[in-house]
Amino acid sequence: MAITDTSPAVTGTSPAETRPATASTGLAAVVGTGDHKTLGRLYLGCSLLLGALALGVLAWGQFEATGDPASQTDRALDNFALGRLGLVFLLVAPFFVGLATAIVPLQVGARTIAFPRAAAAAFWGWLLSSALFLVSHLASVGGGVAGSDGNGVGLTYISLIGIAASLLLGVICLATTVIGLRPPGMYLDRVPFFSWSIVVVAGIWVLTFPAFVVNVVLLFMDQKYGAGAFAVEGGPWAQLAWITGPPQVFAFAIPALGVLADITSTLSGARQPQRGALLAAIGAFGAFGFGAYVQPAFNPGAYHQLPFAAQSAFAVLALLGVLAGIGGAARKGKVSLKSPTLLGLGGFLVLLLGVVLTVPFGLGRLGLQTSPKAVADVAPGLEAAIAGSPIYTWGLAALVLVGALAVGIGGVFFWASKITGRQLPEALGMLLALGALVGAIVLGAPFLVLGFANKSEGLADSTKAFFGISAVGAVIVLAVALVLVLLIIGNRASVLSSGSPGDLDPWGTGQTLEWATDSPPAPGNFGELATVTSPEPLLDLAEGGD
Amino acid sequence: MATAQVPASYAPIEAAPPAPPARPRVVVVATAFAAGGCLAFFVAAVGLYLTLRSTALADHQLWIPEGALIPMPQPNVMLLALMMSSVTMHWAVWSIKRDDRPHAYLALGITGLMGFAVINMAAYLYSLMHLDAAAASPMPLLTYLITGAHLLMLVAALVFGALMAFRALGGQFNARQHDGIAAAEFFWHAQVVVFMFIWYAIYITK
Repeated sequence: MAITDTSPAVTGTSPAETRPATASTGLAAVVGTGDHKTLGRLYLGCSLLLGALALGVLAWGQFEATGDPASQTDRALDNFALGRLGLVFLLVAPFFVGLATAIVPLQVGARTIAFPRAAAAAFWGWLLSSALFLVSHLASVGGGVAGSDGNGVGLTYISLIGIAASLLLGVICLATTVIGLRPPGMYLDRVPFFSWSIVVVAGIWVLTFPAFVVNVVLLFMDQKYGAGAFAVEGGPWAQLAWITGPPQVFAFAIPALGVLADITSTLSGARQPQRGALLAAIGAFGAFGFGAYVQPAFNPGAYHQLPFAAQSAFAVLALLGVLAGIGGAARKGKVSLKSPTLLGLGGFLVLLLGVVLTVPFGLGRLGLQTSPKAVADVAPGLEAAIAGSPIYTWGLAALVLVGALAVGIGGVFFWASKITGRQLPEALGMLLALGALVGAIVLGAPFLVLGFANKSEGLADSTKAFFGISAVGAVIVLAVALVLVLLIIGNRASVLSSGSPGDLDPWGTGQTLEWATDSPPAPGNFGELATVTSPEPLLDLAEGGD
Repeated sequence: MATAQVPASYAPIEAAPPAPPARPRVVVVATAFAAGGCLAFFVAAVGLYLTLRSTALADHQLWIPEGALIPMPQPNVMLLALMMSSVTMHWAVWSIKRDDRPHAYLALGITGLMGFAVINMAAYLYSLMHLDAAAASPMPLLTYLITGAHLLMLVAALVFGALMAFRALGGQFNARQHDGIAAAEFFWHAQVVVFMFIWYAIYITK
């Protein structure tokens, strides 16, 4: 039994022989492409570059808070908002969409992504909207979400709508690929974990992004035609902050769980013994990432209500379920400590820490739900940001997002041969793992500690120092993003110039279909696929079954 | 004696031809996701409308600005037209499933006509309501957002239906393959359901 009739391992012929040749070359091949591998690479590179820019602005805003309050610029809130929203919409979300665009069609044995032109439109729409988002920031003071009458405000709102709509379109194409383009026998409970997590992400984003768009459209209409009927304490930022706060921020970390589960399962060399439970845990974490109802601007008691506390606690349980699942695979096989494993496990632990620390946030007695007054004294320009979202949530978001990003970077190292054509250097992977994890902690932890400043004057006195430390964290994550994008570009250029493809399965323990095709995969990805009979078709092949 | 020639089409079939692979219903799946996103948009917007309305009424503030009017006959007619259009849209799919193309075109045409009638009625309704977006109450802005977004969804459904009608005219759909029209029907029903919510939340509850 073969999982593919033309499996290179079986027949000795390359799948490329059965595929149509590509026509376009050069720039036309990039701009006009509907090839999911190219789109995935574009997503990854652009998200890392734009995300680095957003992190730079965030670091600038936080460094500013360490100076004289009187000398702080009017851009403080804009910088802050751009950095926070940029971390989500310019970096983490498109990064995972890009990784999935490159890998998910390969995992489910599809020759292409569903609706390739729509997927391309999603990428270019996201890129254009992101550029507009950054331009609106430069257009004038108030270009962010400061709520002034600056020329850039309307542009900011329009670009945010474009970003959300494009990301949704991209993830719908991916989920449709998983649901509609699977080979015979690959039931939904047999799809690889990363692909499954993308289906979960699509469900949660489809349910929550529209609520964000409603807020942005209302702000736009109010600013353009209204009379401030939607003015809430904290200004427009308060109306948008929920997308970067708990529990909604969990929704951006869902793909990280799929990446980690695939890494550990593959590198353990054994079949995942608790597959159903692991799929359920990923799905449950997605469900507990539904945060469209936690909008303090319209529901001031949201953080005090039982659903929020329960959701946070259940999200922790779901993550522990994932941990138990990957532990099962590790016990059954032997997980080798490579850079994907380190990045995956390290990032997961940071993510877990962020989710666990959401539980005390729900306890009113600790006073974490209100930002300390000392922060507004130190950074008067951020007063609206502080009123709009408790400072403790800034730290939670940083841990969750950068933790998830670290897992995603592990995914890039894991699937590098499919993305660029060749493995990335292992030593640099270790270095990036260290950088990402240190960056996540240094970026987020200061605000978590500062959240307790309501109870401790000593902490309040050190506010400037905490802002400075967090800014260093932003710079570290920025550096990690830049190094990674250089690595991807360098590796791809090297493969293109040498023309020598990498191994089909460089880890030697591949279980899922992406390891049955070339590195990098040729157009068309696969030849004819036979019926899949288990979640690990390549193990079936190795064991000589059907 | 000469033997009669047996036409090739009457020749015994030695083995049934293999069944065609199940077509991935990607259009229907993607439409379901898109319709889900639209529904989520309206749930969020209508939820916000009702939340702010209850807050305003609890604080004894004016919800519907002075001079504004929300008449009932027009929304009722719109609802009726949309519900009937759901029936005609289903008629189109029912017909194409039976390779009855003339009736499929007729049903799609009637559906489109009713869609345009609803847009026309909505424009007339706006002229009657006298809602000032710059009022102190958030009600006018929310009403424009929700009803305007529904009109956009209706236009999208009309375009989707028209595209599928042209593809049907081009002979791309038949009894075995009619995913495109089925997807257009799905999206059409979704926008009708959305209008039902709007009708109750905005025109009945006010």
